[in-house]
Amino acid sequence: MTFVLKDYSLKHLGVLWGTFVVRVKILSRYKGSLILDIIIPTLFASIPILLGQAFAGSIAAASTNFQENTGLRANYVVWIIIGANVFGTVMESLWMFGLFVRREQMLGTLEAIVQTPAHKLSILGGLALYVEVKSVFTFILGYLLGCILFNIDPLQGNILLALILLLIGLVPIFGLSFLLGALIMKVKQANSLVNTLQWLVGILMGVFFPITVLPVFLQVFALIFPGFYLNYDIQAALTGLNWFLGNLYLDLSVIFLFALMCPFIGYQIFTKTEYRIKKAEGIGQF
Amino acid sequence: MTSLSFNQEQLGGLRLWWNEFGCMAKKEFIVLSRYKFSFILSFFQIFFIMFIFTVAALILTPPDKTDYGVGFMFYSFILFIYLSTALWDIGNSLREEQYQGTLESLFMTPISYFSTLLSRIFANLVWTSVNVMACFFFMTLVFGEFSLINVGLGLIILILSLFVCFGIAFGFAGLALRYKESMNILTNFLQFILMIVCAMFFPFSALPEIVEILARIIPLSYCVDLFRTTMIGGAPELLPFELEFVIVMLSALILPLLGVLYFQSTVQKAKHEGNLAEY
Repeated sequence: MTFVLKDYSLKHLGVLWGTFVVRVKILSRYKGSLILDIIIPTLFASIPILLGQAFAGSIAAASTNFQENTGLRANYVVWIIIGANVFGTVMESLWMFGLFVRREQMLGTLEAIVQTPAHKLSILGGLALYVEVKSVFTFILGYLLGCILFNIDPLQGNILLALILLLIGLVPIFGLSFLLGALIMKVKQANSLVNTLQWLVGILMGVFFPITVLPVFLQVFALIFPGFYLNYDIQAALTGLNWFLGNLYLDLSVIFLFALMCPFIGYQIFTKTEYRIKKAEGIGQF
Repeated sequence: MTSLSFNQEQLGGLRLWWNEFGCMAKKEFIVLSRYKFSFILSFFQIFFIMFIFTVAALILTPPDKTDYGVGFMFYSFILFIYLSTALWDIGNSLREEQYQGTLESLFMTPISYFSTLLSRIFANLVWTSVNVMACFFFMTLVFGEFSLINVGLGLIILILSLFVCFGIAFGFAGLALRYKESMNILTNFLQFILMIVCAMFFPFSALPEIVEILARIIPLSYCVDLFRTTMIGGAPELLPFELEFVIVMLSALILPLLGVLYFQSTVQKAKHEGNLAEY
């Protein structure tokens, strides 16, 4: 019995590892995509940074405006570079599952994958592992690139804590990824969803500005979005800002709570949607 | 008599071009309207982008420059959204034809390359213009009124700038056929590079010296500079107004032509190599 259980979990791990290896191999064939994932957050961050510099007259003056308008005592350049890089990793994680589903649908392999005895969770685990590894890699290099370009010391703040927060904070995002996966399976128009929702996610995460400058109803949405805590806490770990709830452990508790709830709810909704679509028309159609 | 028949031939050619353009543009409208979910989402997308960048601009701007900041972001954004639409739509539409297996047969017909390319963007261009107008009201509602110095001249410069964007997009469509799957990465990269180098969301004065030299080489920079200063006031940053206007006008004439020529040569090459339908 013990042997059977061990064998079963090894098979799960095999599927998980196999999924991870496939994604890494695909990525290795599109090296330009990886380079873009590293460069784009810095290009993205440079827009408000240069804009602030031009409007205010200098980076120092823009920093003063930032502090007066937001109440945050942080260097706005670092703050935005971190925000843009966290945003990149959140987007990758958020769309991980949905875009995987869509790609397999278009290649015509989704129905076949679902028919295999491999458990969906093992496949999802492989995808999540791939996104975690890639996120840490692109975050470190993207942050370094931004700091070098804008002449900032990249070794300030608690880097190790920031990376731990990144790893834990992405777990609830994977949960939301199941929800979007379900939505993409249903409406199929993945690109439009990604293109539109990414900006809403950027607003709710407070990538370029703290959520306190938003209208109250948007602040409420931001507070129930796990990406906001992830971004804020990484910014706090690297710039020395106060934690959002005043204490690291309180902030971590909220992230842990999301990490427990989101994957569970997301997975339930995804399996229900999948079941409904299977019954109605099959999931191979695109 | 010879002259008359020549004119009729010309008129017939123009009518034919108009008919083929009309049919293809209509087909694009029908396709666009069938994907209602994408259609509606694209409407909101513009508001979100405008909102995020304008708020980001305002928290770094001194309070006395708020109106200027909102206007600056809005007019910068207009050119960016048209460029983005042109870059993505033409390339993606041709890729779709490749996926569907209809590209090769399309290019066996005697239709003009110019109308093929222009019709692919026409539907989205109309929709983007509707969105831009809606966005203007949204911005006024959220951030208050902002400057509208010279609307007539601004519109002329915008139309000329659109042709500059088309030129870039036509050339890029040729690359889409050549680089196939890597096209998304290339388009993304080009879009970001043009956004930064052409100072689409910030003044040219913010660019490092070496990037500013690069900006002066790209015609699109003059479109951005000219359109923005016409709408919010002040002198252009790169060159005097008259010179910039001449550059924009010449670019609007030459770039689409060069773009179509490059696209045509790519299609011919693909036909010779027999890989037009490959994707």
